[in-house]
Amino acid sequence: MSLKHKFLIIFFIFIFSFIMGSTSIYAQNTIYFNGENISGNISTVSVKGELLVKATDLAEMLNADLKWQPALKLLEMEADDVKIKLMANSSYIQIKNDAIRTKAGLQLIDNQAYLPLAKAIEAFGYLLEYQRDNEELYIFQPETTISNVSWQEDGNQLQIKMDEITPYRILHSDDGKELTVEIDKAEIDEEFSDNISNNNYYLKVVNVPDKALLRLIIRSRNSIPFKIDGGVYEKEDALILSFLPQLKKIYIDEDNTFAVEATGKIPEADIEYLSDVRKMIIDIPSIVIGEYELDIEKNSFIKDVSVRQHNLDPVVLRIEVETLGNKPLQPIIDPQKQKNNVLSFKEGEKTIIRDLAYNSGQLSFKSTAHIDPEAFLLSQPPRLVVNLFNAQRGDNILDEINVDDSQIEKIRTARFDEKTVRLVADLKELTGYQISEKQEEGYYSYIISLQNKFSKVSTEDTADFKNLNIALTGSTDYEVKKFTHPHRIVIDVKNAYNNLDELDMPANGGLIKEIRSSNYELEGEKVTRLVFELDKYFSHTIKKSDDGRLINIALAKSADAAPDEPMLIAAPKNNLIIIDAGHGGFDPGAIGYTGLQEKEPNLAIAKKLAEILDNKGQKALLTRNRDKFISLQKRVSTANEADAELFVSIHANSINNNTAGGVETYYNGNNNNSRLFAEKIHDKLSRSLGIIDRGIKKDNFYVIKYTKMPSVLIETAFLSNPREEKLLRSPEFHSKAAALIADGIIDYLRENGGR
Amino acid sequence: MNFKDRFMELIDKRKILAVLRILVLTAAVIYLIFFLSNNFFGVQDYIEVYFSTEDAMYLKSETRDIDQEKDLHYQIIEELLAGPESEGLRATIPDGVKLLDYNIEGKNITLNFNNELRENHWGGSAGEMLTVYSIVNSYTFFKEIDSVSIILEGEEVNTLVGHLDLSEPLMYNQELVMEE
Repeated sequence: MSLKHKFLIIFFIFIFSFIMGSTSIYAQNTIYFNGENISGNISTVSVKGELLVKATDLAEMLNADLKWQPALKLLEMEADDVKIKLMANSSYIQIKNDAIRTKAGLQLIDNQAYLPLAKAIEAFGYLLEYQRDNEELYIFQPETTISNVSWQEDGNQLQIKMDEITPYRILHSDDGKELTVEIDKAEIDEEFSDNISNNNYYLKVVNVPDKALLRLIIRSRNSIPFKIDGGVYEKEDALILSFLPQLKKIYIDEDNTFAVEATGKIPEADIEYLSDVRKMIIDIPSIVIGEYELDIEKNSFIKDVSVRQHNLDPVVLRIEVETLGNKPLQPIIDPQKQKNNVLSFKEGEKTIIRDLAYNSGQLSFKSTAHIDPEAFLLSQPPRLVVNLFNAQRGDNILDEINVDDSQIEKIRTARFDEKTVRLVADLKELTGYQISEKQEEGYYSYIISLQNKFSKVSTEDTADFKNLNIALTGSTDYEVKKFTHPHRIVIDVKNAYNNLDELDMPANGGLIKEIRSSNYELEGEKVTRLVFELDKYFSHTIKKSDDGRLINIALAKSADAAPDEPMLIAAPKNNLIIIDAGHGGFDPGAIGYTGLQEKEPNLAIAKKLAEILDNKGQKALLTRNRDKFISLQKRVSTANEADAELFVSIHANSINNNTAGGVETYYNGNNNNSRLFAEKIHDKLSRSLGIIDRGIKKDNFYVIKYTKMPSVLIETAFLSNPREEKLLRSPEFHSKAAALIADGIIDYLRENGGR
Repeated sequence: MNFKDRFMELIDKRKILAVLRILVLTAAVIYLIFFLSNNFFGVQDYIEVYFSTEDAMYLKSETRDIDQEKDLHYQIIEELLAGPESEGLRATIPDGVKLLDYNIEGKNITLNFNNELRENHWGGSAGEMLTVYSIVNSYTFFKEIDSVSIILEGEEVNTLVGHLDLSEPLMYNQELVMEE
């Protein structure tokens, strides 16, 4: 390397370090204006430790008018009605009648005027923040000024006074103890007053210049009762954060009332008395603990009170009160709700329960104060238990009231524990109930009504129909079934009390031979069965109305005019009907008297049925259309996955004797409509197939148990019976059976309308 | 006979009557105890086995004395296989069926039959129902048994011959039983 080269390198290093050295103080300052980096657009110099900016650059940046009076060496800059004046060699900036002192003042460098950036820009009302750590300078023009932060509405609202609402965000910490209000382009007024910091709250104002925003951080020792949803209101000159009411004071007043006062309305509290007589827990929703005063000294009945925020989501304040005496504290209900921010309790005269009475399904009593009866049913023996807390029995309450009507045997009352009166109604059967409260002059009256009984059973004749009307006191589950041998309509009503004995029943006669009722248990459910014995077969349709409280069964008087009104209505089309030919492949099913395999007539009838249904505009799908083994699971899943409307399984019967015969239809409780579906099909088969009617049966057959839609399994005839085996071989019988089944399906669809 | 003799005779008669009364009362009490112990406290000493009616519509039971020499649970199936005594009833179990073993868990009994129960069966819904429920009803006659599970040669089965769901224990079927 030559000397010349060395010299050049040294020269460049010198130059480079000179540049670096001379500019290092300023060039590393990055200047942001309203969040935008403008370092490259403005020239700055440092004089006497103060950053000066070239006047023309600043004027451009601020969109200001600039005037230079060379004679006076006076610089005037005007923007947004603010005018500043600076004179060369003077360290003051003059704004109106004020003068701000700077270190460097106006400097003329290379025939250019430079003025102190910070002071000048502040004079124009901009905010300037210098972050020493990263040597960044932020200039922004606040759009709003926050002048005051204060509590309003007795501490339920936090008001942030500001000229104008700029975009803002409200953030809260996970523990709920810190709330941050972030306001864009905001400045704090010079005369800002913090009216929210107190023993509980602490306000910190943080300027975040790089984002040109201001943070008001409110910290609390307790969780801040900010409403997470819908707690912010914007006014013209203020932002209002509404808080949940806070606990304000717990005290005992002159007349020995224990009071809990909040800064706002106290919602209905949940009061629980622990089995330990001396402890009461008051859970108040939507109240926050806040800064409260506890003043329970010098009293004769409260030992200790503890308060804590039991829960934040949802907000629940828990107050535990330990009492000294044996008397419970009882909430005082203020009917006028004058002071809805005070929850008060009085040492307890226990509520007195009186006038216990029972009248047709309604148990009533009066109470001197509001109580929350806790009621539940017990099953063995059936009884309704009602616990009345903090209560005692009045003079006219007997230990036992003998009722002995259709629903209740007797009502017993007892003191269950120190503070609880227990009413027990010995029921004849379990029944639903409802509790209602009514406030009357000086007392509260309570009615516990038992539900679901029969209210009326009547019949009514029209030209073509005999209507059977069964009315219940409440909506209930029921099933209507039709049976033959003898002909009868059966209405099974679930979980209702059988009070039919008390009702006037329609007279027998006409179509009705007899009306009777019984109670039994069906798959664990109590069922009241009402039976109308009929003198012959009638088609029927079922309607329910009055929110399920009224069941109407219309019996068609003449078999021809009959099924008949609905007959006019076309069955809805395009219902997917799964037709399942039983057995198949290596599973022949039953073997007939002379060897006919069940799988054959099953398939023949199924195929005919599919064809008829197709012709009637329905969509029929066979689980098998040839001699093939299909598992029961597959048959079920085919129907369920296709979400079919109906499922019909075709079988032929067998038994180990050759005399038994006939047609039978099985259903299962898989679907509420299966019974009706079976009835519709069996009606046709039993009347017209020409063999013995073995009836409709309910059982747990695999394919009708696991399919979800109304489903039936039909045993057309007996292979073990020589006569019927012959039928099962004949195509005529196949067609006849298929046609009857199709008629039944169409009947069902007409009545139920498909989906 | 003087008055005194007659008097003594009367006393004697009374004594005899009193003794008789005591005897009758004692017999009544013994009978009562026997009756009560048999009916309410005692062990059932008979079983009821169910058979099909001629028309294959219902099941009807016959009573059998318990054979103290045999395991009760095997005896039931033997009685079912042997068939009914009265006319108008029919056996429900195919020939060749054997109860291989059984297992009682809680109030459920699992009966493990050989495959003949399926293979020799005549099929049909009615046939299957009557076979299965004649077994179920016969076993659930005892208050110790509430439900019956049927398996074939140790394997759980969905159905016996294609209809009735056997994947879950079955309970006594009242509807199939012919009312007297």
